[in-house]
Amino acid sequence: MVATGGCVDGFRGSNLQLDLSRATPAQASPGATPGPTQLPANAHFTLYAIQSADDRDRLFEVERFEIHPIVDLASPCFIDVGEHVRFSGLHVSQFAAQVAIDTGIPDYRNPPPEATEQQKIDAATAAQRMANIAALGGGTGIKVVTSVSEGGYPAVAADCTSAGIPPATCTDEDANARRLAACQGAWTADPTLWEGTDRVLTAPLAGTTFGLVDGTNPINLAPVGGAQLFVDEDLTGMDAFAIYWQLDGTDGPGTLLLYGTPHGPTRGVVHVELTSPANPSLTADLAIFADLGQDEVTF
Amino acid sequence: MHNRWMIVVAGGLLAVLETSCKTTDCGDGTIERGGTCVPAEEVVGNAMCGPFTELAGDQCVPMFPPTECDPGSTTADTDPATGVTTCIGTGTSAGCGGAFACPAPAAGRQTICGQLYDFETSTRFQGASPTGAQCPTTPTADGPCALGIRAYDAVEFATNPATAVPRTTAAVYIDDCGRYRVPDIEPGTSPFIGLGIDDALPANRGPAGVTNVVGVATPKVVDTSTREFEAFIVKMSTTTQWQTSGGPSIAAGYYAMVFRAASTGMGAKPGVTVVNQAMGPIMANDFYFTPAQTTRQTVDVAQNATGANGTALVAGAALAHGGYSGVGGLPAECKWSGHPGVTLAGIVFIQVLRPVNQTGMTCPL
Repeated sequence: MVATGGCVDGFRGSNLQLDLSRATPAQASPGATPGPTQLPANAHFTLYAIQSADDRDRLFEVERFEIHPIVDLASPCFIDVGEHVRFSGLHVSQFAAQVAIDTGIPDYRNPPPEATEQQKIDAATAAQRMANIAALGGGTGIKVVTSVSEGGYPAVAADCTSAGIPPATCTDEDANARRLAACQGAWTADPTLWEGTDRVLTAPLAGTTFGLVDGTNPINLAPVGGAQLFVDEDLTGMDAFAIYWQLDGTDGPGTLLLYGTPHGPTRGVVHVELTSPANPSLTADLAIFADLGQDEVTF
Repeated sequence: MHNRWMIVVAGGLLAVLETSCKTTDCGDGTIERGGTCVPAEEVVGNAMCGPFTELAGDQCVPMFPPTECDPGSTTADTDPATGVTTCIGTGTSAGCGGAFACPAPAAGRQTICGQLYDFETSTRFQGASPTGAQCPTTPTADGPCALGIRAYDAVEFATNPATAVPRTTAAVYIDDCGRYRVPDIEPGTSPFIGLGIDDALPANRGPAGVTNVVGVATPKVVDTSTREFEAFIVKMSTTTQWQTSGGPSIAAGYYAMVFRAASTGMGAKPGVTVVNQAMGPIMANDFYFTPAQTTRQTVDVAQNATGANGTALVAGAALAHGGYSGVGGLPAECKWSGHPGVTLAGIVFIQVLRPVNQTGMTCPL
């Protein structure tokens, strides 16, 4: 009886299920000027739990994250990686052009008579892949909730032979190999540096994907969304929650994006509807499984 | 009795053992993080919050909406750029020059508002002696009050108009100035919402009546009001002129591309040739108007670029062909926006194209 009654000192933190509305801004590509619905590239989001007293609010930093388009053609390390890829280290923007050279089919709608069936399939597939990438990274594409990094990539070289990451247009084997090595080196040095891929939407090339902002997959029009975070804090009894964005390396919480107060727990789950004080279309739903060490229902 | 006491004692012991797991109980002003109580990263006093504001995070925010419009005589209209809400009167005293409300949609919906134009002349399509009065329930014989507007999932409609189902909306508003409002459109799954404009009376739908069937499309942006979105009517006499002067017929349908000179405004851009983003020039399927013509009446089959009206008609367009755009008439920092296009029998699809930033550059137009 004593053995069965002994307690296990389990994980005392919380699990967060976060649904950010599709109006949530994503970050611009590094070096690019943010668009009207974007934030600077060197920024991050922070989720705060808040205790309210009569005369003051106390903000506890719970988790930082970033939001990026799922693919970024402007990134020097948006490349093909792995044994199964056709051109390892090639910048993905050049994929269709390389397949066209490889197959001898510059226009898949008008293949030469000597082209094999497999070559035609490859050329058409490459064209479709480029169309998919344009849709995924476009204004109505998928946005990803990711790990936070204040680092970045080494500078892009001036030409295909200089030191640095070879420019995207350098497609020879040597340039591809050097690009692959430079990018993998950057990812190893900073495991939280995030780089997405169109090949598997939930398996990035580097960094961690926590989930997706609510939206629609422009390729198959399927609804997507939902992110999950495990945090060390026991979030039982908090009075409010808020999400801010802030430039990297800057003190203070930053700019308030979303704020909400929790509903009473239902079967141990706290629900928070967050809204923007400035933009009513900017919303989020947060479900909190607080103090998982005491959870007897879900986990 | 002895067994019952055994159960009670065991249960009590288990309860003690269960509760003894949680050894940390943090006081006010701290949070348990990894088993340790830690203080807050930020502490914000609320002494700065003025009357009718409350602390949200580290900011004082209003406790109430800034404006409440009288629902009996006004419509609330919030400027998305400034956040300022204006109560716009629903009466006719301001006439066609008065402001036209485009209120925020219900959650998860999109509202589209704008002005109807006669595509042949680019003039506002208005009734005789318009006052700004809402159209009557019974359609009139002519003018904007003869029309009906329906919202569709644009891709669903373009794929098969026969099976596409109009999207749910609140009551569509059209006035005799030709201003319209399609509120609370329930969006479909595709990235675009289409508006179909045709005569309201079933007997006049299609080429008969005031207009052929006209389609326009705009990106789906839920929880947003899309303002000043141009919609059009295209009279049967107009498409007949296009056909008799060498263009395709309404029986096959048209994809009409209107190239505008700048990112805003109505100025047309001459000297633009239609290209398909995948196929390049489509010289057998693009038609342009007489070079000096500012209206849209006479096709000139000898032309290979837009004239003064900035307009091209495309035959045989299909979603499977990818997007349509243009080349020519722009500085190096600009390119033409690209849009999916389709040609469907009996329908005039109209797309307005504007200069956008060339990759890595800033378009000054």
